[in-house]
Amino acid sequence: MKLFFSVLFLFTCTFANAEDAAIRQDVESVKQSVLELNTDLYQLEKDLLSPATTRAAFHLSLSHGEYFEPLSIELSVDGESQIQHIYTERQVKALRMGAVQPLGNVNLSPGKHTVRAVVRGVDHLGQGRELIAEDIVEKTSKPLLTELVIQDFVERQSARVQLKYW
Amino acid sequence: MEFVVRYLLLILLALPASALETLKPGDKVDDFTMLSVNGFGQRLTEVRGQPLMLIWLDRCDACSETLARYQLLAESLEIDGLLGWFVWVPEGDDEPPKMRLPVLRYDTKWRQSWLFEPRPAVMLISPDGVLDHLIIGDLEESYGEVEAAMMRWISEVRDQ
Amino acid sequence: MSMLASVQADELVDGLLDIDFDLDEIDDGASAEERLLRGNYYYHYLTSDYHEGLAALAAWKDLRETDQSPEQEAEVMRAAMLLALGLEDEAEKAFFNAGITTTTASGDSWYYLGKRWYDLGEWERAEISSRNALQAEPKITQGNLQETYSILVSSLSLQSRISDARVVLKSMADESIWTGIARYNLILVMIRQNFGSRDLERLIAESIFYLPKNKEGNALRDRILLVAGISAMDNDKPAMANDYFEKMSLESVFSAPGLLHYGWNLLGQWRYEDALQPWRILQQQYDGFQPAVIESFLAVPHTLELVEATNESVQAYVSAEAKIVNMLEALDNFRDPVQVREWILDWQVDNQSEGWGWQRQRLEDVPDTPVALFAQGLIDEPAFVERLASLHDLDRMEHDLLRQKNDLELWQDVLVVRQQTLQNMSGEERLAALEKKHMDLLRRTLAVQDRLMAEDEAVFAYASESEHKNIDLLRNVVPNVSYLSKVGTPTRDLAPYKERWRRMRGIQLWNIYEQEPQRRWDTTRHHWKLRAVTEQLLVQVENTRTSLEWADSSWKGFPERVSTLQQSLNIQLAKVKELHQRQLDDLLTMTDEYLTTLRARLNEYLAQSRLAIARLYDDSLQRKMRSAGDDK
Repeated sequence: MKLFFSVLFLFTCTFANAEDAAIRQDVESVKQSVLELNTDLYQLEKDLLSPATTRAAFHLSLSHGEYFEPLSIELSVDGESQIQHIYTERQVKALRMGAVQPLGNVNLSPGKHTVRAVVRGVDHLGQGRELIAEDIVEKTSKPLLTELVIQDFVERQSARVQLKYW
Repeated sequence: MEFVVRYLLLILLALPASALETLKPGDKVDDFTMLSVNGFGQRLTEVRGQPLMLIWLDRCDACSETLARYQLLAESLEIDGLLGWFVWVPEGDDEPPKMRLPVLRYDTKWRQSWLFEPRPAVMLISPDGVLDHLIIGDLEESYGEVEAAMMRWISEVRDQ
Repeated sequence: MSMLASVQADELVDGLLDIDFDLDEIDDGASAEERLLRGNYYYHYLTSDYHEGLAALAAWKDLRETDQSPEQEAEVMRAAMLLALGLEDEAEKAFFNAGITTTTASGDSWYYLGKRWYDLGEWERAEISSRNALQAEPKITQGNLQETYSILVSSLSLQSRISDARVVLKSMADESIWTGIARYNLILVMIRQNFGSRDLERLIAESIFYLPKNKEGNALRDRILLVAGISAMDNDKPAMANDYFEKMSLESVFSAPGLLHYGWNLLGQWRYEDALQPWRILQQQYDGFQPAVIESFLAVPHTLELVEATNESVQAYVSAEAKIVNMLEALDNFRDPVQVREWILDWQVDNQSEGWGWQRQRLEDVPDTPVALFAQGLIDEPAFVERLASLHDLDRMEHDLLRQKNDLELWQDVLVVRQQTLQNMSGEERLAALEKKHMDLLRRTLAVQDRLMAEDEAVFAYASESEHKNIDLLRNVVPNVSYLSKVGTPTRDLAPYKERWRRMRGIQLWNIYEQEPQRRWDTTRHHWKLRAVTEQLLVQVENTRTSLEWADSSWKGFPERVSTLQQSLNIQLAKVKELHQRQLDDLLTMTDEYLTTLRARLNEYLAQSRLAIARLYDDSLQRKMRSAGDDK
């Protein structure tokens, strides 16, 4: 009498068949198309929320960051709070590697606006510090690009934040 | 999966129905980012993939002693990937507890934060961000229950 | 807490790209825009926000007007993101065709790639990728190191390069679970190649010794012991096989087949009584539908038959037959496409909280229904699990696309509202009113300016109205006084009049001159104020004009973009739906095939047991007839 020895599952048996391979390939291709579509939808939504003409895009970067590490930022335009952000360790790490954080887009009417950014963080001794940048930016019909740059101020062993715009 | 909810206590506290409706075991916990009194801010979705014990504190003025056992519990399970966070809500001149684990500070000013009611409460959140256990009530009194639930839960999480 | 120190330490580990830039060098608008876009891309990549990362890359490429990634680093990141998203074909193109090397891609990117090739059974590519992962800069994350070694050892083993695999194995940490997995794969290949038994035995002993004492380690230990036991049985080393089987635990998925084989091994050594022990445990502790348990139903009576306990053997066969008949009935009840379909769709519903691809964290087990009971062997099958995951991805993609479709419809409404609001605002009339107001002001400003210029030339500059009147009066007095002096009336002394007139005139002039600077200042200030208001109004008029032009940009062109995207969305949605159905059908076929095989196996067991019963009856009949014949 001969009985089955069921050791099938010990050696991963592959159920591979033609249909499976075809589906696999199709799934990959549809994933690719869906991702491309997502990118288009993302761009469309961004444009709908802040059309290029009124858009002011705010960014933040950290140059070196030896004397300051951000923990939070609050940004207001003409006294009205527009952007808030709390930094996590991973985000600060990304900034230290040279990444630029897209803080967000704000819709601005044409003309001059006062931008005020308060960045709270810690200095190299672990003490709480507050960096403030206040400037007037002018919005024209072109999208306004702004960048808050936190830079070390080596002579004073501290840091400062500057607002740049184009 | 077993869920531990102290319904009796919930009824006794006569809470608004919304608190119960908004979050119950089995629900996905909404994302939040909060400042921490002892380090970087913490964002819930950033710790996806790791189990989390989230402790919502009631009024706490330098209440480190009450929390010491919870901190030890979390640290003893660090090897299993467990994270432990406290959420502290400042009132008056209250001092935050001095802990080694992150103590998040709730502040209405930050739009990306929310506050759970009723407090104190302990949430055990699975690596995929689902509220597995919710234990509401005095932290001193419910420690035993939290520890028991934690031991069962962490081994389930570990085996997945 | 020293955050700075911890960040710097982590940076060394995670350091992916160290981009440094000098702000002063790069400050014109165009290059700033590119630098910001590039920085955004890095930010999203480094914070694992792949969706936005791809969008930022698309924007960056648009700016550069190119289809290619603008830099190789960017391409490496793209490839790593594609891998994380499960787009292996695209990632493969990126890695192997774009000339990415160990110096351009990080250790972690190569690690992910190696892992993927290994899962796909591409051993040679897995080997190349994992070797690259170990050499690349920035270095691989510590947590991925042992797994990478394990992939390398396993892919070498599976290419039958045993001695190469053993060399790499030596550099691994003995206690890691990954070392255990690498050793297991090597053991399997050595068994298949009938490798020198001493070496194999030593490797088995080593791997059992070092495995960690946790659930994962214990399961792997059981798995190795089971394979080793079966291999020893095949090589006629029953004592050694006993030794391996005895060491197995009763708590892993390998315990049931372990017990079954242990019994067969004892039976092979004519230890009939002992052989029944593991099978009894098997039947008591495990579910009836486990293939090992079903087999043991027949193994027990077979053993009883061998020890010539014919009555017990017949009874056991009869009971096995009844069990198998029941199982077949139950199986036929549940081997129903509708129920199987529901079983799979219920699982899909249970996993709705999970995202697709890289967003997926943990998929739940299949629901515990009668179908699951029968399909136990199938559920443990990686191919089945992988297809379930693919079904889940398709379901979630369909769900996401439907949500986006809904969003687009909402945006369509928003655009109509925007356009209507703008039309109702009657912007043109408002602008005309503003322009008129501006012109009025401008006229007034010019009038003041004219007066300023005229006064500057006047003798009595900035005199008030009454002062002008007084001066006129004084002026009129002069002819009167002159007349009086001509008349020459002796009674009237004109000297005091003349004196008073001179004094009055002097005071008047003094007043005018004294107040002149203040008045000049007041008028000038008034003029400036007017000018400022006029200029402000002009800016306002200009801004309103621009706003009106811009306002159109909040809807113009968008309806077309929305409808184009709606079209491509519908195409994708149809594709995803079709694929979802195909994947579901595939899973149903797979389940059905499995259940059909199970049914065939049960039928065979049934036939075997019935045959055995018939034979046993026949034997006993023969015996009876023989003994009756002998009696005669």
